[in-house]
Amino acid sequence: MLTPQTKTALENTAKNICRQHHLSQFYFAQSLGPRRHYLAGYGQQTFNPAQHLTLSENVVVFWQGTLPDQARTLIKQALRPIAQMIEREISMP
Amino acid sequence: MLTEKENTWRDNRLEQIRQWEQHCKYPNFIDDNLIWTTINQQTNPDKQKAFDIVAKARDNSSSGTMLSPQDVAVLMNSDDPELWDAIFETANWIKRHVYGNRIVLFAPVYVSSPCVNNCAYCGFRQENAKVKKSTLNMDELKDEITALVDTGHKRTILVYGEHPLSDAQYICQTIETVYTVKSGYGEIRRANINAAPMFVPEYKDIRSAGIGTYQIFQETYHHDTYKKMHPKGTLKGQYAWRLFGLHRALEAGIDDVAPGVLFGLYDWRFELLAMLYHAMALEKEFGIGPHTMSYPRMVSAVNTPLADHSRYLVSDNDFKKLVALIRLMCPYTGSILTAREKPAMRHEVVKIGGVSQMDAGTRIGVGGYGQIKQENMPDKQQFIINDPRSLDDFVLALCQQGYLPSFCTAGYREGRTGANFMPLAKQASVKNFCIANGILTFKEYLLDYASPKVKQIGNEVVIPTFAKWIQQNVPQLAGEVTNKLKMEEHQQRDQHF
Repeated sequence: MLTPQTKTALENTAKNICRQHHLSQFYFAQSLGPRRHYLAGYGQQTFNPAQHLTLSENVVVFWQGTLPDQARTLIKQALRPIAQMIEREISMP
Repeated sequence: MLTEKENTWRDNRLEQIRQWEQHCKYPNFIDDNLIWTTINQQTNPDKQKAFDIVAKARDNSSSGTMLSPQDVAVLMNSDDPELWDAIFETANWIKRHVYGNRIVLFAPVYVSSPCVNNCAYCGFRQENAKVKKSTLNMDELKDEITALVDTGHKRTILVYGEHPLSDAQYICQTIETVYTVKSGYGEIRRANINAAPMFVPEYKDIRSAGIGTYQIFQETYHHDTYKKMHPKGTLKGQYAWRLFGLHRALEAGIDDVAPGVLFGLYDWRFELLAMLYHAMALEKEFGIGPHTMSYPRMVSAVNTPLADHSRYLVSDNDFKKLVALIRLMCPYTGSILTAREKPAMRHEVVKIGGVSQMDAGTRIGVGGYGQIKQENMPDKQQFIINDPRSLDDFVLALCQQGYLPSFCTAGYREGRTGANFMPLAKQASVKNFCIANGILTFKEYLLDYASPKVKQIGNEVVIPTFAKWIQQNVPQLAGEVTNKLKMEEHQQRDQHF
């Protein structure tokens, strides 16, 4: 389970990414078997096909909007420490 | 009779449950007197007031606001046929407004039937020697799931007795096993759970296996009736433990939860308001309401006289009313109508009750799908099902009535869970995904499992009708739907949004 502080950090991160890349929505999810369990995010659903990117073993991000390959690579790199933080918290009993 | 080992397991667990109840941090939200007072204060309701509440329910469906218990009491106390026509019409309108004109299909799989409880209404009660109980091992479960997915299903609810052989560890193992089964293009993509209430660490283990919804029925919310139905000294005899079972699930991070009532144990009007209080309590504590609500009506079970003779058995007319009222009082929730009901009743209720999910091709004996041609196996079942039609026959009937049969399981695999799902349902926009994914999953069914009759009506009428709906209402998805349909025709599967 995420702490409230981490949840807020994820919301802020998602908000910044939405603004920087003109995305309508960006959110973090936890992989649980086939389930992608919503953790936190920002933005509005626009009913466009969502794209996703796996950040680490158990953390995935989804977005709506266009994100070029180069931006995806940068985002993945930038979010690595956040993914590690999420992994640590969700592995706690 | 329980074995010594079963007794020890039950007694240890009962002690832990009692300790939890002693330290329960949640206030009991079911006040029997308050509920009856609310019902009795609204007898002989003013006609205009009742129509205004119906109009309010319609407005609420765009914001997800629930009706108040007082409002629901006004409606349930009315005998005015004109008002009930308006309620039924509104229930159907709200369902279409929120979810679109699709019905999500699933099938239950009874994984284990041994149970340490002794509930008066249940064929699986421990003392009922006339029903044979069994627990599937993993190979048997694989066979059962294979038989199920070979009919075309993609979504199941796994049902377990409360017993040391079907504890949380076993449940995790079965979920993982279910997801490994592949048969041709067949697979289960979403496994929901109907099992006993758990402790938070147990819920966390089950959550990690990747479940859809966790379903716990209170059966009856009326305290005295609960005591009568669930003997003292049994696990299920602990009212508060069960009442807050979904609270603990949410604490553990399971954010799709589902309450239900077994209608027929007590007055349906009381139970309906109590279920509303349950939804309100979940909303208040966690900001997340029921993902679905269930309202099974008590039906016959072997050697279970109460099931046929309860003084609170719900008439067909009252059943239609309560289903429609659920849609009005909690507009965003999924509403599940099961194969306990006869085919004619199901087709009537789906039209007027705002139903969004139905089981089909259902077999409820443990190992029942392995013997799919046998509609009921009474000495192996918890109760008798009244709609034993095949999935294909059921799908055909839905198509003929203008519905889109949906095998969608996309939402929870795209991160639309809990707090990310609720706004979509509450703002009545989830239908945009529901219809698109419904089309794509129905197309898979047509390609892989459907009879010639279903293929014909599906390809010629249903898919074009709903593709047109997408074009008109969600044009940004229309091109992608067309592309994905083509990909499915070229043997690609599991296309979804």
